[in-house]
Amino acid sequence: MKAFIDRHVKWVFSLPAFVFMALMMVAPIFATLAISTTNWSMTVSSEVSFIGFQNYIDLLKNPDFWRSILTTFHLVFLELIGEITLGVIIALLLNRNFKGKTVVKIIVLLPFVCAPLAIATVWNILLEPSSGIINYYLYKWIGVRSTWLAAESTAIPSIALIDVWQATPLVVLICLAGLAAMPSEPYESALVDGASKFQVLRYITLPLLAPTILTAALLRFIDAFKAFDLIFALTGGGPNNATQTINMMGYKQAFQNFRFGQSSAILVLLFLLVLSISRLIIAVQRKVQTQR
Amino acid sequence: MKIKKLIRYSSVKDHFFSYLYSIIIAVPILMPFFFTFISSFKKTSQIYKFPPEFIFKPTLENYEYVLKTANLIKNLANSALIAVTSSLITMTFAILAAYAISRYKMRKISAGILVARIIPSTCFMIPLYFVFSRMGLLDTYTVMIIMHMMFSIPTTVYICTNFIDDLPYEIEEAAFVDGATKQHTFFKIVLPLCSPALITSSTLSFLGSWNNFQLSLIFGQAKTKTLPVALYGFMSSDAVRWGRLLAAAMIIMVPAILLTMVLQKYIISGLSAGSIKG
Repeated sequence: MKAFIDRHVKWVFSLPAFVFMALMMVAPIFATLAISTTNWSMTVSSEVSFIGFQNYIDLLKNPDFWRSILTTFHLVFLELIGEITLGVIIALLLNRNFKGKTVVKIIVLLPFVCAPLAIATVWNILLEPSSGIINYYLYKWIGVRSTWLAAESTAIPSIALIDVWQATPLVVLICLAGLAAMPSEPYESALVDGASKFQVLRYITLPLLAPTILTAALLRFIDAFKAFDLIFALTGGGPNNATQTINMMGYKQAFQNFRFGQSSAILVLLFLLVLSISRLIIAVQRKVQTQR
Repeated sequence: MKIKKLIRYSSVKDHFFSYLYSIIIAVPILMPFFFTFISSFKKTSQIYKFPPEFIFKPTLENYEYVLKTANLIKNLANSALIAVTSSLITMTFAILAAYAISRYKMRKISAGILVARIIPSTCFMIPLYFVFSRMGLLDTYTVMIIMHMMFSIPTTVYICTNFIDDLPYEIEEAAFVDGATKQHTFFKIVLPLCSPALITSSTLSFLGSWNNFQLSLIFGQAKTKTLPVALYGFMSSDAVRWGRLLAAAMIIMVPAILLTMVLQKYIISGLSAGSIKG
């Protein structure tokens, strides 16, 4: 036994995780692919039968599906812009040594480690249009109110705002790690050449940080594109489907309308979208790295 | 010396700016937490009062209601049980797999793990839901633990693989030369060195499970209901009782916040793992 494990340690060690992931991820992905070619649905009592690409054709003709794609991209775009900009700025501001830096780092980390459900509860109450504290102070100080999550036109920016509050910490941490790993030679020669602080930032720090920023963007893109908990708890896809993302639509079709075939088709398309955009970002990142 | 000054400031003036920036960054982050903390000790009538009062007689009635009357204590126990068990098993699977992947250069498989991190979990839910309901396993701890493991294994394997990649191989080679078996070398030499990676990955998978909502919503019902799902129930049934909602939110957030205060170094290293190497 001992000798057997010794000889095959590679497989003995890796098998539990591999078998688990194969059963729980690889097999279900193919099953989802298979289900997406059937009309399987709990609401229709007819036999489950193979219908080829019909689900996909129906989807591409469905305006709700196109709207959910648009919603997803709108939301992810706003979130990424906010998180990357703020994250890089905060990381640059914190990239210095001072007493109590650890405390600040812990504070920055707090929103990110809290459950999206708890965060959504708190922000739902803060942003309540008629009796929420934020509208109260907005009206008192500058005389305006917003409908926040309650109206179609403001729901997407509001969710983006809350997501920026919660997820910017990840960008900050990654950029801080990137800044800490920077070589000192370019800074030395900049000092010799008498470069200004702004020039150092513009021509040295930001270009050197670019691959790190892209990594952060990639990680945030992946999580934002498949976000579910926060949106589900904040608006449930409403008002009037204004915040229904692709993921949300797939979930609702499956677990509220029980149309498994249709839902699987949505999820397969979601899967392909995430995969191809991630590959695109990775390709851009490689290019940035080789240019350097 | 001068170089250092250009990058990292140290004069009194710069120290002033360090703290100014820190305050500007910290205040917007902390305000919602502060509001939640204060309001969770207020009576409903006090919460709706404007401008909000900061000095008031705190009441525990919200906490009493959610923990006892609404039996959130049961959901708390569920969340803890599922989070602890799933992260322990995840860690065991992940460190073993990471060792094999790192030392035997199974690069294709580590690429596969990255893909697993990318896929939205909704994409697996339909077949798994169908299979588990056929097996009569819905709303059991087994299924909840399995689902939460599925969620955390890719990340933990990734973190541990990165960590073991950086460990020098020479020590292990020396042990092999002395006639030690591979598994003996792993448990006696490599594993103790891996403790930072183990703390990091178990913390992250604990937090991932503790905070998870979607998987618990789909695969759990009355018996295995976790805290976030219970909170979601409050949102519809007790929507106007803000104190109760915020007390329940506090109960979910406080363990995560305490964990962060103690283990921030490990959490940060886990979250930024591999981001430098690209």
